Amino acid sequence: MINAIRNLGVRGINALWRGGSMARFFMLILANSGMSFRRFRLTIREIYFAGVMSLVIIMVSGLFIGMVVGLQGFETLQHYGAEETMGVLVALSLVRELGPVVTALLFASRAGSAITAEIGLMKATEQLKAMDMMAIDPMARVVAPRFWAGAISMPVLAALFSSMGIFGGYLVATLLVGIDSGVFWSNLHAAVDFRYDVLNGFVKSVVFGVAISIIATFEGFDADPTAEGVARATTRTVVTSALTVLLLDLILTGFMLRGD
Amino acid sequence: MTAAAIKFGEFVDAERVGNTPTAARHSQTSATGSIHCATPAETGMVNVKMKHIAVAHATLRQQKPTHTILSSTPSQSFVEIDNVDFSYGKRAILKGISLKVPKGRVVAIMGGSGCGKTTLLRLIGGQLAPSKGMVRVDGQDIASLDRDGMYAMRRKMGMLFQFGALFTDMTVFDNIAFQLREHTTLPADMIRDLVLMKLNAVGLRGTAKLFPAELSGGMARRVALARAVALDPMLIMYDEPFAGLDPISLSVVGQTIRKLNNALGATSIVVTHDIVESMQIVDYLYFISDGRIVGQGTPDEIRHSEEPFVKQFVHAELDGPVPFHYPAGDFGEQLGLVPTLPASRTQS
Repeated sequence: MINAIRNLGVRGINALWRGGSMARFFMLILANSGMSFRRFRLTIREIYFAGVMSLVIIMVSGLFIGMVVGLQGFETLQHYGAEETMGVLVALSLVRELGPVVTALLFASRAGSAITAEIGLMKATEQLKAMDMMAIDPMARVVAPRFWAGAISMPVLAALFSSMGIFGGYLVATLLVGIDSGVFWSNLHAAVDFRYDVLNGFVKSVVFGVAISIIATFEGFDADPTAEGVARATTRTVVTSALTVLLLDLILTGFMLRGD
Repeated sequence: MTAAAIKFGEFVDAERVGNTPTAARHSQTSATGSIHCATPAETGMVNVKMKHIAVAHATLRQQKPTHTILSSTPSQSFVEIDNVDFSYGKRAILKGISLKVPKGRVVAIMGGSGCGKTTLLRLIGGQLAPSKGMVRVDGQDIASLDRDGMYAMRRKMGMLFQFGALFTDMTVFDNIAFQLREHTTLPADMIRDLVLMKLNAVGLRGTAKLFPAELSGGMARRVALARAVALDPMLIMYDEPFAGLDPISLSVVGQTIRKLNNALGATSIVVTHDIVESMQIVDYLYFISDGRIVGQGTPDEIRHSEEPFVKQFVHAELDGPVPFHYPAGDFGEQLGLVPTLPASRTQS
């Protein structure tokens, strides 16, 4: 019993230390971000790897999830004779929740893990040390551009995910269910509020992008410089990012609800 | 000989010509002297190219902060390590180490695996700080430098890591151009010429477009060598440059280290346990064992040294101050071959 409490205490303290280190790491990234904007080409390159290379998985997933939500929504709505509001259901689900959250989960798995593995391997093969010995700060040259690439890519990917999802819902509604295209769009247009729905969804995706980018770069930079250490760090990135995104989503949703 | 076949000698000429802005004006003469059997058109092109490169070098030198030769003249030692202790936690690695590396020399630091050789390099490079004592490079106490001061100092240094540490997402060309692009404002065509010269000096100009994964171990080490000298450093540090190389690559790397040091007028520290190759290329050797310096001297002095550790190391003797056996209990007893006396008889 004593041992269990002791272990819990040790884990708690370690988690706190890790959280503190991550916060300090974030401050260091901000302090070393000058080069990422002065030489924006560095960031653009990372946006290509983190964002552009994730386009396929994000857009295809968005399309299918939109279609599935449409079909499931139709199943329920038809009981109440409200199947014409299917567009509203699909759009609100995607823009408010599914878009930012699912994109974040996919982004963490596809791009976050790649960032961690890349930085971790650079550390394991002494590339970061070599850079430091060349009087070039790895925080400014390697970490900060990857962080900003993640933070910039995530909201764009979430927007594309939601757009593809709505398009998927539209295809199901018009081609399978037989809802009139004009009705689908006009209901959607009337129900979705830009500030309350779209902007809140955007804020969420920015917060998730920042969180995933911090976790991914920190885990890579902090990885043990061995093959096993990099593998463990990559796994930690995906798990920690997923849990953080879900927790942050709960907190943000709580703050964003109008309550009327 | 055409412009594409500039050999090591010409590289040296261009390096020396580029050392001072005034000397750059004479580069044309120097370059002409090194070109043979070329058509007037080719010679003209080469002259322009060499002049161009000499100006680039002059610019490079001018852009280095506090790059003065005089600052280290009082002691004539470029690196001084004075009574340095270093520990990883409670494990003492270096115990009161003192050594000097004279300017312009190639010095080897030798010792068995895990004796603290690489740690010593990291102390010199400012990646670690000593727990006691002082490390001076070019007259400056490394531990007292702030980040900007440290980076200014590191621009005078080049380091070859044990496994090259080449950037795997860049071509060989970009690896060598990396520091030039980061630290200078030289135009792209000048950088191109400088990179090709560095690659030519290590005999790998033909690999410029390859990625590090496409190189053999020896080639990667030579590319890393070219990268280490990209900014014409005053101090070049080599961490196990001969580890895992075949005899030909080993000899090529060894000779290149010596020639580069002479060509650049630099100071080199080679951390290694390859005694045969080191003896051929270095001016002076230090031996470290158990965190202390146990022997030192020129290659000739080392060959005839009677110091037990040095003798064992140089002649690769199986047993000596470094025992063959890791400390353990009695072997016969462990195998059950030695009868142990009953407790009652032992007491009587």
